[in-house]
Amino acid sequence: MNLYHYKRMRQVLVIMSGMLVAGWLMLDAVSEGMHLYMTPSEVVTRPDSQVYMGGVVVSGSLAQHQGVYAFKVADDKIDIDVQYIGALPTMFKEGQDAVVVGYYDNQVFHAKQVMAKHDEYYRPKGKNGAQ
Amino acid sequence: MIAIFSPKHYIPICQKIVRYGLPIMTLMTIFITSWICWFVPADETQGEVFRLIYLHVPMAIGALLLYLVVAGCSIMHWVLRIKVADWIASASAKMGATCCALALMTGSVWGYYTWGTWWVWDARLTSFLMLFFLYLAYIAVDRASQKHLVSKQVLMIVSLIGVVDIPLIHYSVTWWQSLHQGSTLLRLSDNTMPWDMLWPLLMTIVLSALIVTSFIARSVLHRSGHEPVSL
Repeated sequence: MNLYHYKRMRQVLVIMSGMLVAGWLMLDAVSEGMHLYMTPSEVVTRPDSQVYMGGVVVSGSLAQHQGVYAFKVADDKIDIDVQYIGALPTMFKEGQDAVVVGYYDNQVFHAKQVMAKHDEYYRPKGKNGAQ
Repeated sequence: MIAIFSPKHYIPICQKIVRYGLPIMTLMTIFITSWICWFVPADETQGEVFRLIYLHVPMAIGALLLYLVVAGCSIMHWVLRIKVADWIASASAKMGATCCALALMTGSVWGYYTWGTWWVWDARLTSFLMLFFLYLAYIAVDRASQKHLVSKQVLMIVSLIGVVDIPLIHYSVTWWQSLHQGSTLLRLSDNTMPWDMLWPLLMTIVLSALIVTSFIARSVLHRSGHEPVSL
């Protein structure tokens, strides 16, 4: 390493640390808005605005009446009634996580879109007799 | 250590990779593809569509790691003025952009069949799309620098901008609530995936690494005037 290398290396380190600090500050500023969805207990405090709401679909709550799906989405504190017209994703199941897009009004969440969440666990099909 | 950066050493290495790489990769591709299609069990909850993991995960890992190669080689070229580092960086950027596009496309299809949507602006997907644009920016500046329109210093700085995005992508699913699930591979102690599903995944990762390496080797040979055509 001679002076030439030292100067260029120092330049790289200065630029890199500048980038990291700038990146850190930007992330710190936008961090709160980076969540895709809110929990049901956050949603009830913000009625009438379009939000993404995520939580577990309560077991036994899914019902269909004249093309309208009704189910409950819960976090660890409360659950919210959701109404939705349209096709549910194939992986949408009771007891699994889901994200719904819409607005909360008059004790009911009116969903425009429903998305199913899946976890990072994989299990072979049919190992427990179920094929 | 520095000796490997002289053409006398890396040219024969690249030639060997190109010569023996193709038959090995062809056999591996046939073997792994048939294994994945016929012998790997379908997933309990996701069904057959889970097999997309064997394309999606290696491409995503490739896109992330190749960006580190791009940045590392750009710095190396700027500080130590090693020519081959510049060639590796520019080939890696093209391979990385390809991996990134494939990861986004397979992820989109996978998302449609499991989540019920092609695209959602969650932290993981958005930061990964940013990585794709960073690759495109690097490739554009690289072409300009090859025509001596901009300095290699600009190229090095462009590569450093993207480095911030790599940890952001990695931690996006742990820092924020997102639709994308957490990492399967980095939590193996937790038994997230049985071995009969995991072995082919590890092999596709090795195969992707081989394919990327041979493309880079071919590109290095082309840039140093040893190969008439570059793929």
